[in-house]
Amino acid sequence: MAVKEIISNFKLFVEYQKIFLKSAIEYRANFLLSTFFMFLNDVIWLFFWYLIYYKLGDINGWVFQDLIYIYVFATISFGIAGYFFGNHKEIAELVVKGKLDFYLTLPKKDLTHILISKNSWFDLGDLLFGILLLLFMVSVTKVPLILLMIIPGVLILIGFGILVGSLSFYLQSSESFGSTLYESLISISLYPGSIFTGATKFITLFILPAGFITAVPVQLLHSFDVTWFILLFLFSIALFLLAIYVFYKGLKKYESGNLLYVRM
Amino acid sequence: MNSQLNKYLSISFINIKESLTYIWDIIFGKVIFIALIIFVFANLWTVVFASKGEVIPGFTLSMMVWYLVFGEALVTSIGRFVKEVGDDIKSGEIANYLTKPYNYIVYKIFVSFGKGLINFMLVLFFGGIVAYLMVGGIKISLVSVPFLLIVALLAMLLNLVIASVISLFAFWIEDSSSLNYIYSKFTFIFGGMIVPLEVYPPLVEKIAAFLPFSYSAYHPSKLVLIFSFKTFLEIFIVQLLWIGFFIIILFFLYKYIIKKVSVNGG
Repeated sequence: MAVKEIISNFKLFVEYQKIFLKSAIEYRANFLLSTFFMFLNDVIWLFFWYLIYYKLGDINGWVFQDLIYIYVFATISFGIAGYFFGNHKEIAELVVKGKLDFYLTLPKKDLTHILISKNSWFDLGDLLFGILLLLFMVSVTKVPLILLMIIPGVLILIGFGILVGSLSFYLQSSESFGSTLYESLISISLYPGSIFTGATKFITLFILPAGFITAVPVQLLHSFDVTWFILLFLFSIALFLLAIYVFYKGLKKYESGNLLYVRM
Repeated sequence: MNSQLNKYLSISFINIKESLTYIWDIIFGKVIFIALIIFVFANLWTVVFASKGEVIPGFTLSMMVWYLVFGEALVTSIGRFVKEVGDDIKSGEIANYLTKPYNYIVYKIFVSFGKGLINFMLVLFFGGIVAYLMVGGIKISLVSVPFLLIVALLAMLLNLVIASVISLFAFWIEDSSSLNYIYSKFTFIFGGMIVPLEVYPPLVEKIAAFLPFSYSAYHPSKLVLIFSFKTFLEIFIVQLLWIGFFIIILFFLYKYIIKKVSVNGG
């Protein structure tokens, strides 16, 4: 049963990717611009850190190469989560505006369908930037471990997105608060992990778990530690499962709305 | 002329009132995030100062953090101006404004100026609390306050005028979010919103300090920390010159675009 479900979801995923590709070709100017601008945005930020490191040399032991690792982990995770599972950031809007109706009236009414049915060209820019960094700025020997540790990052992003989005099932006006939390997670993950110590480090690991997206993987690249490696995977899986649980629990409270939408 | 100005000032005033009505939305939607960034940089500078001491001669730890508070308050006050105007152009909504008895772009500038004043004060307040708790306060002489306010208002106006010029490019580049993104990054980094330009290599510092973006972030924020009447006058004059320069560009660009809009039928 479970295998059948996975295959059918995968087929749906492939179909959606085909539609996204067609839409990218149809609106190619916009597609190229969005992707390019996000790419440019990443270049500008990395250049900013280059300038900072030029003066400082290191920040509490972390050098510029560590920032490159951070950007590899962050941008590829953002890219995968945002491009292939774009709706993980939109749960609150779907709930508040009654847009979940569309999914609930179809035979495929599960969370997977919701997640995969939207993509963002911006995030593709992130993904491309991350891949280029990985190809040209990282030693080949580190690539397998990096690719492996991107998985928990993706799980955390999607899980956290669903979790804060699901707040809207309980609190109608939590839409902007939820997106602020999500933006904060993204933002914190782009700073050198070495600046967080003590209580702040705890918060960036277990409350706004940005540390598990970038800082912990970068630390593991430097000095591999089995305990942290296992913790990284356990934490991300636990957060992801919790998010699914909270979503379905909240879904029972879903009341729809009376706004009409044309889904284009 | 006077009644024209009064009309636009009333628009700003209405938007100040509107912002006050939705004050908690602004705090939860935006100000908390900015306060968090200030918190992150306070952490960054704390560990840097602990290991390396002063990064820029004469800039203490608290000055570095408070610099960011002023920079954020000034720059982020205009919100997503480029995107808002860009969306109006893209959607054809601009055609609806053109029938109204005001100039669309001047109207938008005054709307954002009103909202911006509230954003500015909220970020200053909440960011200031974060900065105070983390690194303590800074000394500002009372005599300098009126001059600082003038420079701050002109900084916001300059930012809005540049943003207006950029936003009109949405007429050719349809993606207004991206335009907004890139413009804001330029002000964040090359305008010196995040760190004083002295942190950058000398050549980058010199170029960035000359560019107009720095007069809406770096120069005003630094003036708050290190005030002198002479520097105030310099900044004040250059701000006016840049504002004038961009108003001229805006005037011609807007005129050109409005003609095109009527051709397209909105």
